Amino acid sequence: MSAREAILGEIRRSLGRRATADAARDIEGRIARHEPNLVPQRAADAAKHLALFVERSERLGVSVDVVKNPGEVPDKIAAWLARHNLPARVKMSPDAALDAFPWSDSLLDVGRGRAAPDDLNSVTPAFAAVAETGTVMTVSDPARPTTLNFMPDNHAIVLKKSQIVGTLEAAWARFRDSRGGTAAMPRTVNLISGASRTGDIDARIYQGAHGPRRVHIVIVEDDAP
Amino acid sequence: MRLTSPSFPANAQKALGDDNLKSAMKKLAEGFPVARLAAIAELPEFEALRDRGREIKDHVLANLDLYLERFEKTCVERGGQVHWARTAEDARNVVLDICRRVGAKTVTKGKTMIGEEIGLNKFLEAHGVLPIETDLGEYIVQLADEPPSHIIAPAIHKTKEQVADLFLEHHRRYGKTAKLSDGADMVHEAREILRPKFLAADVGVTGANFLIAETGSTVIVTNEGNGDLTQMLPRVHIVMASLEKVVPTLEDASTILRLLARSATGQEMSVYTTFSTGPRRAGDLDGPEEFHVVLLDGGRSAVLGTEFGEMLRCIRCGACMNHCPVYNAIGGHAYGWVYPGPIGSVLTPALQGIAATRHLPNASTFCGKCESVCPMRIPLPRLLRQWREKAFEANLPPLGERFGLGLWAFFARTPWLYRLATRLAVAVLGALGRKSGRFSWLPLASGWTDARDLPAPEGRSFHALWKERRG
Repeated sequence: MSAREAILGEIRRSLGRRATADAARDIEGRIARHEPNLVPQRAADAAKHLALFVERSERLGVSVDVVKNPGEVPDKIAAWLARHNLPARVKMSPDAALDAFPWSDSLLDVGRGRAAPDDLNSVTPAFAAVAETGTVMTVSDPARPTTLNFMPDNHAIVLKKSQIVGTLEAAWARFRDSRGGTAAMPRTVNLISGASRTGDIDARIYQGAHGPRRVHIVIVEDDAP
Repeated sequence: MRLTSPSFPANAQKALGDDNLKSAMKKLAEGFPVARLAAIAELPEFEALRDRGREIKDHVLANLDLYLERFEKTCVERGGQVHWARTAEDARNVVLDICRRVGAKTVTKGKTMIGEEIGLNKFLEAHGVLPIETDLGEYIVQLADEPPSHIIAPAIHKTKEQVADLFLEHHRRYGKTAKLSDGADMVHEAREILRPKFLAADVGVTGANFLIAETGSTVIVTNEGNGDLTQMLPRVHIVMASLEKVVPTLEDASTILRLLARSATGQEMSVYTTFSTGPRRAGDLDGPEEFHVVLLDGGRSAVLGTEFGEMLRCIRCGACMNHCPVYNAIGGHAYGWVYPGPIGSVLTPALQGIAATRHLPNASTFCGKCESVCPMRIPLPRLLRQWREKAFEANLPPLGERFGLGLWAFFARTPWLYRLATRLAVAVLGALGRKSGRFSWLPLASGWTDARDLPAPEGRSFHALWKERRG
């Protein structure tokens, strides 16, 4: 008997389960409905999502710029790097939506691709953002390598206001919509809430344990619904 | 991992005399519980979410076979490989076989309690594969050649000074010869030394906070980002998980996530929550080429459906130990296995047998704090009491202890005699201790008086007062 059969057999004995067909239909039904459970009221007011997201991000130690004109995005990132005395060089996701910003008008030296060990700064897009907790959701694919979220010391995320939703459940709903109603996951979905930190020395919080020491978010106030 | 629970009383005694431990543990009590309260105060729905979390887990446990099959099916559809392991030995061999097949020399590791449970590090080392812990706390205890003493803060028992000494001793070979005094410098030094190891590793091993049946994903919840570097840089990602980690959907995981970080560290969300599904896809620029999930039973399937089944709802937040007066006094190592504190005292007897672990259920004052903070509402005091009963029924306590319990039971079942005896004791002790108000020594009470004075009784017994106030 394989380990698989032995374990499943032991579970069924412990549960006193005989037939599984009806129960299997039930759990498939529950999965197919994938209903949100109790969802907190904090982010109930959609008109306040932007303000709530900014407030929660700043509480996590993330700096945020909100711009009306997409043309300002590269300058805001360049200014953030300058504020921290960082070189004006970034590695960026090879993402068409990011390419639309006027990078060549800025002082930034922009490379595209996955993160290399010596890349100090990265720029990535986001899939969605969660106002409730100031969390950014990224989804991996050929244009959005995951290494850019973790290897560089400084991570800038470009977000459209219309990408901000109230809750994690609402972000999953958008994710499912983007995949024809299924939850066909890519290799990696990251939820990022602040910069890397540790509490393992002296039970104190130190920033920049293994991932980015700093996270900066630029939000473009688009008019999309 | 070697079990030292049989010598729990001696372990605890030793821990109580350790001044470094005492000063390190003081920080725990000042940190997590305070942050937890502040986080909960900001979420009015927290108590209701605890109920929902419990319902989700109960539903999963009642259908565990089906959810595991569903997880496996979806995981495989997305290109993952699922390995079922009945025992620690089976799980170790699965990992070693993969390492050998790909010719792995070094393995980076994110935090995995299952890895601790199966003693993965020592096993890999013994077979020529070098495991490198990358969570800072796990890295510190690996340097010290110790097991973790807390499930989310593995090195909580170490003072900053002790960490500085460990770094000085072990980082010399990297040219770091200065002893550090600033915590930020230590974090930076560890980052600098570990980064090339992430890049050079052939295999990355992480744990899992959840498995998602709907999507075939595994989920890790971390703050450092080490678990992510561990899984995205090597060619092979191996996830160590136990059976009860599965939840039905992304929405169910989202509900439990609202409970997990708040209960653990007092954060609303940990910094990184990562959903990993299969290997890198065609065209992806990074990510592992192989994705394996090891599902460990390790005795859990036999606990299901028993009077101890509720322990399987545990999401490993550590709140019960953070709030436990016994854990706070003795630290995690005294418990003698992987999982310390109240949940450990319930889990360890179930997975390792009560015969070797009968002291653990006694490591509780039954104050009830653990149950009151458990996000999954696990009735820990009741489960601990059930283990005490099991141990007594199995004749495990020595004669003296059994005799004492028998004597007490006799009085407790003869109320008039009990009241008479307590009235007498209160009167005698009250008279003897009137002057100082306390006793520094009493016959048969050295277990108490060795460490602190026993207050002398004042006035009347509880029974007498109770009768008066109700009457």
